[in-house]
Amino acid sequence: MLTNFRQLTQYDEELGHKYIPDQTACMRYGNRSYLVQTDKNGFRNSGRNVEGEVNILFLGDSYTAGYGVNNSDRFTEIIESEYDCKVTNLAVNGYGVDQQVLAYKKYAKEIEHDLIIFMPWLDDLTRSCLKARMGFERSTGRKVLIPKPYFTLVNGQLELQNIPVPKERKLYEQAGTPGENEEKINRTNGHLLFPQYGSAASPEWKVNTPIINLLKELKQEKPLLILPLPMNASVIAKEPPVHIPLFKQFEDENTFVYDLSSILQENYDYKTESVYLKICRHFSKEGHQLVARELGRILQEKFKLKKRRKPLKNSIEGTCVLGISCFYHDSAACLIRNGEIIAAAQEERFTRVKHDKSFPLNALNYCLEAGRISVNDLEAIVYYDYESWTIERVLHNAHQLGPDGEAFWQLARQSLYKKLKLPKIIRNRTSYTGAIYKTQHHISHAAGAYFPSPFNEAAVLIIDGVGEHACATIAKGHGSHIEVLKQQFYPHSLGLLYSAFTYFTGFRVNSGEYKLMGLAPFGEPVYYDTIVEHLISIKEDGSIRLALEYFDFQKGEKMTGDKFDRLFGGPPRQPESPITRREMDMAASIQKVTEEIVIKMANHAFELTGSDNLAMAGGVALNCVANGRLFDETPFREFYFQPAAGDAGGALGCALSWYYENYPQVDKKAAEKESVLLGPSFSPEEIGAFVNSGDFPHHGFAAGKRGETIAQWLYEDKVVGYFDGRMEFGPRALGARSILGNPLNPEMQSKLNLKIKYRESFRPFAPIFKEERTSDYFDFARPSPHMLIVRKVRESLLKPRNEMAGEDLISTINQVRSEIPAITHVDNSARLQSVNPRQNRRMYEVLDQFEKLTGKGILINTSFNVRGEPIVCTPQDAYRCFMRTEMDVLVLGDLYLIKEEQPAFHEAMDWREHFVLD
Amino acid sequence: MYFELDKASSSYYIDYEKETPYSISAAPIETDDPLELAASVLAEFSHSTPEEKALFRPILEAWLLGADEREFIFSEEHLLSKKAEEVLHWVYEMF
Repeated sequence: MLTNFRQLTQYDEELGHKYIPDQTACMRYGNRSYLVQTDKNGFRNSGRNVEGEVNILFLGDSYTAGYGVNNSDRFTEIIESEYDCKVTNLAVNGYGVDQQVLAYKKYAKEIEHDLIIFMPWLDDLTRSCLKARMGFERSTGRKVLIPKPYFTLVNGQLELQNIPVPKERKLYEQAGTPGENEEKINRTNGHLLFPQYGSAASPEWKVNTPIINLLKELKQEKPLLILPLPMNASVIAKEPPVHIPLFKQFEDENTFVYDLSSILQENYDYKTESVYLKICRHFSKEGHQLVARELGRILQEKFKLKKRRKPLKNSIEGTCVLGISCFYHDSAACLIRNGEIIAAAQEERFTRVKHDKSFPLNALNYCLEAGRISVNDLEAIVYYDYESWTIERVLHNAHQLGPDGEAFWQLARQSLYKKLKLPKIIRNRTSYTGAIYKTQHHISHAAGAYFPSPFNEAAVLIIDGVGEHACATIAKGHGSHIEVLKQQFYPHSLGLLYSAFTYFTGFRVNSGEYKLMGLAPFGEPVYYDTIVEHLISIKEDGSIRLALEYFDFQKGEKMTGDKFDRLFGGPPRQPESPITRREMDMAASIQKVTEEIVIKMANHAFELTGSDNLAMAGGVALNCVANGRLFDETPFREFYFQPAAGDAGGALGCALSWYYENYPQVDKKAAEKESVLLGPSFSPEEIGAFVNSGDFPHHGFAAGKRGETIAQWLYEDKVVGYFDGRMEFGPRALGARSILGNPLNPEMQSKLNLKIKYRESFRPFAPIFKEERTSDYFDFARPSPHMLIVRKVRESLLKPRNEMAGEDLISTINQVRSEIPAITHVDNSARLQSVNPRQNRRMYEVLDQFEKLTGKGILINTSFNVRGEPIVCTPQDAYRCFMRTEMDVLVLGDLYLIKEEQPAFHEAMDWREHFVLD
Repeated sequence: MYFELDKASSSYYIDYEKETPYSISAAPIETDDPLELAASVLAEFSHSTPEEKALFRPILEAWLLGADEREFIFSEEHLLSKKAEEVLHWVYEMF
């Protein structure tokens, strides 16, 4: 429904709306995006440190604000770049003449200016007659009327109405008052010509004449240049500028009117974007250049404005490279600058489609926004995969299948074609004209594991389902280089083996693997021997060979075949059907096999590299139970697991791989990154704009009491939705988009599963705790900042097992196993996330305050979403999730919202039907 | 043929032989000529014998000659005509 994850405008009680202050946003429109930067007052000024002989202030609407183009491509900034002047742009999308004059009245006194350039689009004269303007409400997508201030004439005098501007927005279709409906009439007749602008007797001129005179009065003796912008239809139809004589009435010794109609008409070409953007008819980049040329000529001629000796340049510092992964699962984009990771995000967070594999346009735009660059400022875009090698593998696969190969090829080639056309898709969706590269899939993973790690040399181990050919890779990283040593090739894949069991036990492949891992402790590994005797041959070095006759994944339709069914006593479990002992035991068995193979592979990586350090990535590196065993069962001393170990992390790795291959002299330290908080953040202004726009009751924390207040709620067993700072990159919520609960309450696990997350009751919850308390709670004494390590709860905290408890799943879950029961899994394990003040000061404060209340600096931390939903990205996502569930409190940065205070929440459809269960 | 693994071998791993940079230009596949595209894809194959490449060439060519990119390459005219409501959203998306 929404096209941009950023809210760009906010309610303003004097102007109706204006931009959110201090905002950088890469806004989508059509096949492109454009970069918006706003200043502290909420206007589109880039904050360049520019000096000029003349200070110019612009007034206008979206044409002058620059809808659809970057700040730097607008005629206002072109003028500033080329002429000896400093420009302030007070234009805002959707403003009528009245709002433009009110903006001048409110802000001009604090802005130094020698000249005012007033550029009303003719439609703005109509807007001055309206009480409201049409807009789309972001939270619902409904067409609404957004109130605005307006003037009426009372005894020939202007009287300002609607102040403070009402917040309430009426539904567009239901609005009945004449003033509001005029907007509707005007829109539906948008392509007709507009005689009213040439008639002094029209309502438009009756209202706007005194408003423009008010502007003249406010500006006092300062020169005013009026450049009315004709309606697009008039330009296309090459109509005479009938409005100009009426504007001429305002001319005097320091007010001047110029007409741009002829220059626009002469240059308009319907086939190109010589003047207007094709989609929305605002000025194109070329149109802005055209206006800048004409305006510059006028300024030189009339105001003797001098050209700069050298035009100012918007220089981009450093080499910016964008990595993207897509078209398999978990599409993502990542921006690096001079090797440093600037931003990364998964597309699913923006589209709200779990594991979204589509072209990551939103994530890409977010990365550009974070880097404050446009797409053509990039040195390269890098894709995380050699599509030609994947095609090669698929052809080999099809060939090997014999007669069945044709069907497999037909099935596979559709998605392959899209991969093959990726460069064209990039150019089509982004207008990018620069170089495009591709990096091998496992090299992308290897670079994503090694370069951000704190090691200057390391063994690198990559294990996943399949890249192009490789399913496992052992490499060595040293300095700025990665050297691949060994690979395990398709179809003999540990990742695919695990996914086959994921499928067979009724979970979704490429998504439900972590559920299988969570289910494993409920079972016994009774099928271990069956697996190693029938399904797989394992060498001492961890390399494997699958008995392919048991699997169907080579045919592409399902993961396991009839022979597999017979081996395990029946067909696969149907998704959502009851989980039986068989599934639990199968989970335990394949988990044990997987752990053993991973340990063997890691040991072999140690033998090959001799390094003390191990860096891991690939989907299997998300198997945190296996990761936990590596500390005890391999000779490595230090470990780094790429937090976005799956395909999303490939976006990060391919950019780093390309960069260090092309800039090998750059120290690897530039890429080292402990934090995975690489996604969008939302300023207090933007969060404030959200809650105010929706009129959602909210509170600010008492000074210095934020952590204490949140800890108190948690102590009272309230469930808190916690949204703060930059979003995490990767599958785990690490305290930026988290749901927090009291881990000391034995009932909290089932409460969270059933009333908040709406998911299977067996699913465990992970703890977040103060780093220095790690060994107090667990059999582990190292930091674990990324929740990728499973270890046991410390024995001294365990409670005696209740032998009277039943053997069924629910009884087992409900047993109180430790002093921190809600995060203690059935095998007394937990998936650890430690936090120190450097990593997340505000979360640490909450933990610290909770420790003061309870003696334990530990909380439940689960991802801020419901089952099947991607983790929330925006304040709006967070609010929606909060209202759909039985969460008690929502923390949005410095604000909090209490459930009981919120208005009733209505949705057109049941959200449970919206999310595909994983 | 890399599907075949020698059970008697002490390892199922394959040695990696690096011949080109890990990151290569996508320019060779940026062509709208299906036959040229097929040739570029084939030229990048790294785990096929000449005989296998000869076998795969006609399959690739037939596929690419019949493939249609219109499903995912959008013209702005398409956006104008098919997604008018979405265009309105871009322009009028407010609070």
